[in-house]
Amino acid sequence: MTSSKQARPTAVAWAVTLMAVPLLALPCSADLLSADTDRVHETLRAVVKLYGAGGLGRIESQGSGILVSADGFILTVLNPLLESAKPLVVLDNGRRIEARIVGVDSTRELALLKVEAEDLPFVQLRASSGTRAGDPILAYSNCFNIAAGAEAATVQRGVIAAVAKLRALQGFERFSYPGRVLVLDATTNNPGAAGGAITDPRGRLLGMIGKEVQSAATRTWVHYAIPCDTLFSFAQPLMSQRRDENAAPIDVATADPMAGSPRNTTIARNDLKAAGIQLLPNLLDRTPPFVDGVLPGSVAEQAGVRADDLIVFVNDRTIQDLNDLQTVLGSLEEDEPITITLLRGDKLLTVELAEKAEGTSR
Amino acid sequence: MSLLLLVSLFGAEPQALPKPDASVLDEQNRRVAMIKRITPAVVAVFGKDDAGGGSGVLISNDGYVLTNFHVVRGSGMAMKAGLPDGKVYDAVLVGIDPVGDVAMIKLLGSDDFPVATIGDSDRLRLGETVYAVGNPFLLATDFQPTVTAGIVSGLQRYQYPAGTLLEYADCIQTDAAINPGNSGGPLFNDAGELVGINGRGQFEKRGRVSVGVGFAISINQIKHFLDHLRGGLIIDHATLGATVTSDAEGRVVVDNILSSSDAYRQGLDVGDEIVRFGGRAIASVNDFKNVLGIYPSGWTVELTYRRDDRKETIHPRLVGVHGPGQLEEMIAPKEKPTPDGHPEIAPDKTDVPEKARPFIEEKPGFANEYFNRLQRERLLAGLRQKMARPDDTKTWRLTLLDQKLAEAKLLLDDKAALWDSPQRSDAIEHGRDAVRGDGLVGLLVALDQWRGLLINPERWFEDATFVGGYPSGDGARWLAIRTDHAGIVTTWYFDRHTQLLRAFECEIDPELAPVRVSLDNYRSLEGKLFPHDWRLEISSGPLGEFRVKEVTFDVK
Repeated sequence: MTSSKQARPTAVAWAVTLMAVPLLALPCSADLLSADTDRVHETLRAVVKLYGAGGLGRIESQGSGILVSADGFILTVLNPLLESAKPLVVLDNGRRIEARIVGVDSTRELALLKVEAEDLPFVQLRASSGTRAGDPILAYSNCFNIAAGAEAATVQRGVIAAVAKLRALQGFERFSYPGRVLVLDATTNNPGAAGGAITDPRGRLLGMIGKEVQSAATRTWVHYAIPCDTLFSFAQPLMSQRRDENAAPIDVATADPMAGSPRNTTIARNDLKAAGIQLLPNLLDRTPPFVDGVLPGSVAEQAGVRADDLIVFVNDRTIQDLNDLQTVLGSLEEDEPITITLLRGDKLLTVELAEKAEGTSR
Repeated sequence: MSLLLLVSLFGAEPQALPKPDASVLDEQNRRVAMIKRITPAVVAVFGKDDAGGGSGVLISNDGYVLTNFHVVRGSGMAMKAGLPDGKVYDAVLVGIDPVGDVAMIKLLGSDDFPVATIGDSDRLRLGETVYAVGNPFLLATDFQPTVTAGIVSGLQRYQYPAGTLLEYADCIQTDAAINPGNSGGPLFNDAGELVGINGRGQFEKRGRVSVGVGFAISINQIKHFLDHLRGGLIIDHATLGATVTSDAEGRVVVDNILSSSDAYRQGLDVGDEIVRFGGRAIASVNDFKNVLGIYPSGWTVELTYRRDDRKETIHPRLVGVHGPGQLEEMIAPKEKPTPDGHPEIAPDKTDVPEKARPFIEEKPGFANEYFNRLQRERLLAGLRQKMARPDDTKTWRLTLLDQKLAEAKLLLDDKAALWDSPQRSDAIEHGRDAVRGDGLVGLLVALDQWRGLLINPERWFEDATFVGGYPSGDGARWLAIRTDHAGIVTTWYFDRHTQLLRAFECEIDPELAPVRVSLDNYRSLEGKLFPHDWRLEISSGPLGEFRVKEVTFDVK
């Protein structure tokens, strides 16, 4: 067995074993399996249960959030449940408070909420974590809405499997998260878990459990978290601005030069997004192609598209749902103009999107 | 050697490898040794004709195994079980708790099976390490179980019956992988103690594989049911006869109560706030359901309620959720196609192996009458051996002293019964109509039942039922037999170790609380034992505590 030739077939297996060795030597975690139960209880207090709009099909009306300040700032993901006028927050002690949305990042699909309260338990947002693959983690969330009222949320343990870019699908849409995420080896991203906390064994925040997405390559569920540096750069400015309670939520992504970038334009929703049309999230098998909103000053606005218009034809081809829309848009030539027939009330009207957004690549 | 080999393959320098911390290796060695110690008691349970199966765990050397009800449902009275020693054993069904999803089976063929050490699931803490051991996906064709590790993800979880009658109350949530086939297998803590029976995964929206959310029935719940299970019973879960709801202030209050319930009889009423139940503070409806879900019907559980600014503590008896025969009907195999197309049919009795047949006695209302009979015979033998028993020609004459040393005279024979004390006197003549009422008469009827039992225990036990284990009130567990003579139902409670009769309850009138006689201070009489301290409770309340001053069994 000293000859490398004889040993070669087992090399891969041995390499896997070898990779595990440095993990065991990390000074902060003598035992990857154990968790400090006092610390677990402390962190659980900062994880809140969220309830809002939704509840149809795959759309969850329930989620998780992380208290990141004693005066009630809560980080979560940008979920359909936040379309509720006032999402309900249930604290660890069962207290129920209505929240307002301070700001969102529609590109990274993050949201910052605020409840009016004082002296709340929270976890500290940190600008960076120095997280590496192999680090042990604990995941806290109210997955499957298992806990109600004052009951403690779920805690799971795992290891950061990789820090990597995410190529995933959300429903039938591509989910292109700009930047790296923490890929986890535990089954953390279950229904209702998005917005939950990922900490190290000492209770320091490493990230936030992301939305439910599937691998674009394998169609299996991806378990991942948004790293804390991203959370920090999103939330910290909003928290320090101390905006008026009545101010409309701000979308930091519209001011973000990355929004609508070429990376995101290969699919229908973002093609039209480049023209200024925002569609409903494609979460159902047959999501109706309603216009959810139109960006001010966009090509679409100039063409006369309005929110709540229903797209019925694109270049004379019937559109029944967002999947049809994707197929039809995908079949267009690079510089082919897009003519959309819209149903508004009981009237049909046709608009032409004069130019496709710059930078589109297919 | 292996590290050197790798180094040669990858061309790296040996010093590039960090040396694992000694404490980490020690911990791993400890875990490996612990797993080696606990796995021999893990059972692979096989269904009929390779139709599914699951896991189980041995809890006694003579082969009693805990598993899930849903694992053995459909297997009939006999099944096969494999142990990590590589052998296949015949097994028979012993008892079932269909609502709690627990079943007991008994492996045949040895009196020296390896067993799991039973732990205390109330001491589990969130985040502590646990191990699920079992037979996921029925991988263990060689009966070597699969071990998965995780942490305690949640405690005191209440999981609604998901379209079935299975209710998981007060259960343990873990992220240790629990997959189909793990059902019925043990959940161990880091000390290798049995803390739960894995039974359910969160499979909603994700398919039937582990998604890091599994549930185990707490072993402390199962402890309440163990004697029932051993007794071949079909056990029902309990209701208080009252429902609760959360009011606007988040208090848990009674919103409905049956006037026939023991809780109502003891004073609980609509609008009362439940403060404590079964030794736990109650802050939510789930808290209440969690406590209710861990007790068998017939148990008494301490309950504290608040009305206005006054707190009261009562000990109501819980009653079954299902009516007589209802539970049995619900779990009976149905001759209709299941969703996957296979007709579910009653197992063919001729399939039962020769070896298992002596351990199977079918009787309506029982999981396996054989094991009920075993318990009855054991208690009967104790009764015959130990207790002083006058024959039927004799009249009992007793002088009892109450706590103020006032004398009460008691006379019992086959014609009449009489109680005479300075406070109260009454008498009954046998052969007259059945007695109803809440006075002393009920007590005399009960005492006459006792005399009947002692004179001829065989006859009294003929149609009796062993009804399981019940709390004694002082932390011990009594074993109970229920008899029905001339329409009078009496429950007899025996000390599980000494096998002495410690109490009996006589249901004189279904509308009223039972008459209860508690017995203690057994002393020698006629070469055997007779209780000298009696505590008497009639339907309207306690009559008092008495000490036997004198007892004679006269010839008529």
